[in-house]
Amino acid sequence: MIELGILGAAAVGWPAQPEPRPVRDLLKQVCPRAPRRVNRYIELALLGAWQCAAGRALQTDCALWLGSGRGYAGDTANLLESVLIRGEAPMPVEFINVSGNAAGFYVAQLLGLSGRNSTIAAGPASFEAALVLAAAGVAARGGQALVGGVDECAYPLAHHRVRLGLGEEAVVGEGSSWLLLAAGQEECEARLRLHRPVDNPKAVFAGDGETWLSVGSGIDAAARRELLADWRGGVFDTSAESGAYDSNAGFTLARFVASKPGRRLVHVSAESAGRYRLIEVEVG
Amino acid sequence: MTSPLRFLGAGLVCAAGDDPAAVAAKLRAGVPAPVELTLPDLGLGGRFLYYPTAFPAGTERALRLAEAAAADALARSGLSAEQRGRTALFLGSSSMDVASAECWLHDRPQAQAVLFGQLGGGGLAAAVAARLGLGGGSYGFSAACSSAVTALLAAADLVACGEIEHALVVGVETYNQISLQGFNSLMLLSGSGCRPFSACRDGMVLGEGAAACVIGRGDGGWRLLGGANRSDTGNVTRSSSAGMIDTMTEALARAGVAPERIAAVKAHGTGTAANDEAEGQALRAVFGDALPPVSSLKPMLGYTLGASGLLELVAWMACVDAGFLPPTPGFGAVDPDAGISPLTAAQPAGAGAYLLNCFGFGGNNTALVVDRD
Repeated sequence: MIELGILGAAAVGWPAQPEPRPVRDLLKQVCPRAPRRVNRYIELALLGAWQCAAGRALQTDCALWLGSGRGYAGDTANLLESVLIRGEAPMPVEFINVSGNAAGFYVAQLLGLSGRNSTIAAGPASFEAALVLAAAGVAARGGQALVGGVDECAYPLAHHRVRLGLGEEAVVGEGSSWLLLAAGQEECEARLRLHRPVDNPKAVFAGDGETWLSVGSGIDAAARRELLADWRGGVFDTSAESGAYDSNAGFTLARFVASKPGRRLVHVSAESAGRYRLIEVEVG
Repeated sequence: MTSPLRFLGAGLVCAAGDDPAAVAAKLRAGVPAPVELTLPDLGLGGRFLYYPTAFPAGTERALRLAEAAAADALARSGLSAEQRGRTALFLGSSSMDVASAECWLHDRPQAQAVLFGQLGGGGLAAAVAARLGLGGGSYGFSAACSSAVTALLAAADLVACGEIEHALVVGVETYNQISLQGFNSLMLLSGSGCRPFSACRDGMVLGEGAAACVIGRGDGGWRLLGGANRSDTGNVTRSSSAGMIDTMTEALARAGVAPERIAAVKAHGTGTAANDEAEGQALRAVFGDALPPVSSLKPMLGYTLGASGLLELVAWMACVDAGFLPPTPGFGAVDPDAGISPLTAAQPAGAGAYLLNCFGFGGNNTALVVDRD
């Protein structure tokens, strides 16, 4: 098990609207130094990261881990159509802005970070994957890590639903939620414990009145029902608030830290076939 | 005291071949061998790519390249089926499955690209893990040209802290028009060949391939002594010499290796004006007057973008295993701003550790320190 302190959290996310929400306007309201000539996905990453870091002393070598299931899906699709269907040569800035780690670059630049910088994709467990790797990095090397889960909707929204395999009734969403982690911190907002993967998560946590449960979006409906059966604690479900997207576990964990509805949250994530990762957050 | 992390098995598929020893033999000869691209018309006459001929173009090209290299690495590692079931996969790529999306669109010109379901996910890593029976989780890394080396360092941390016993690290890059035309738009492609550190260099030659290695605890062979990954946020497309110095210095410090113990440097050496100048200045700052032999493998392997760091590591280890340091073919006159004269002929590999650089867009700088005992 890896145990770290959570120094800060920011939960930014919303259910998708028929037209793209103007992220740049939101960013300019909170951040006076928003870079120009970046795409909406990068702006979304900056919006959450800035709010997580605001007012906190980040070490310059703080590691940056960005988990995203779909990355710059909209811009990449536009670039593909531009080049392959319309035969247009890409503009340099269009190409640069869909480099896998461009968002990480601009977050590091905005926050003055010079440590390691990684962008991770692991499907519907992308935030959890980034969190595991960030925690291992801090455990192995010390220091701090800023961990984000960032995904945006691609428009038109009907296409986005088709691509995600979601029906009309599903609430799709987008967001940029972040946790700031550190080793050996006595004064922190919450403590994070990453348990080793297990076959049967219910054998680890039976549930009690003070423990809340959240279920990762990579877990199918049948396994979710099985996990929730006989659970005696609360269920912390933020899907109506954030909508569904690959890295929305970041929103769930950050919201729990910020809102503190209970003492402890156990988040269950699908690690691999038949294996589960338990992520425990304890506040107070 | 825990034993150091080791490379337990490696494999590669690239323009120079699909067997490490055979690739080493070609690198020893040092004859650049550009292969004219015969895939779809690029409208970029005179530029060349390297590609392995054993795999067809198609929607599974990246998967098949990655699987081939990974299967060889697993076989050479000697991991049992039970150990494989607990092994995690770390896959780094710059373009991931963009080539597949291009093929999908090519066959459906009226479709919207956003409907290509796999675009941007971690599906490629999960698919490789599933094909090889790996059950310890899968992670896709996208850090431009340092993707695979970033994946290697993350895998090493997960093994080091006891979360997993073994990791399979894969780097893969396949031909795709977005990468080719994107780098062309930045005027970074050479029409005449890759000549790292030469005064007459005029750009990079894109390559294609995959590499894989299994890391874990073990006895004998190659060790991963340390490494560093750092952000250089001055310019999104150009790493600075200061950032490179910091990265190499941190890697050496984490490895516990003084610069004078470095037997040779595998440079990033892209053949572009900006990279080679900055890297040359950084190498001279780190090593001073005692600069060890320097070489770049990109004239032979092409610039395989997100796979390059791992592909060049596997090829470099194969060369040293064969007893030599590989040359940098095509080198002309020294560029005084870079100040580096890379090896122009193979020379015997001496004792010591090796520093391997890999820098990418987004200021993603990495350096590794490895040795063999």
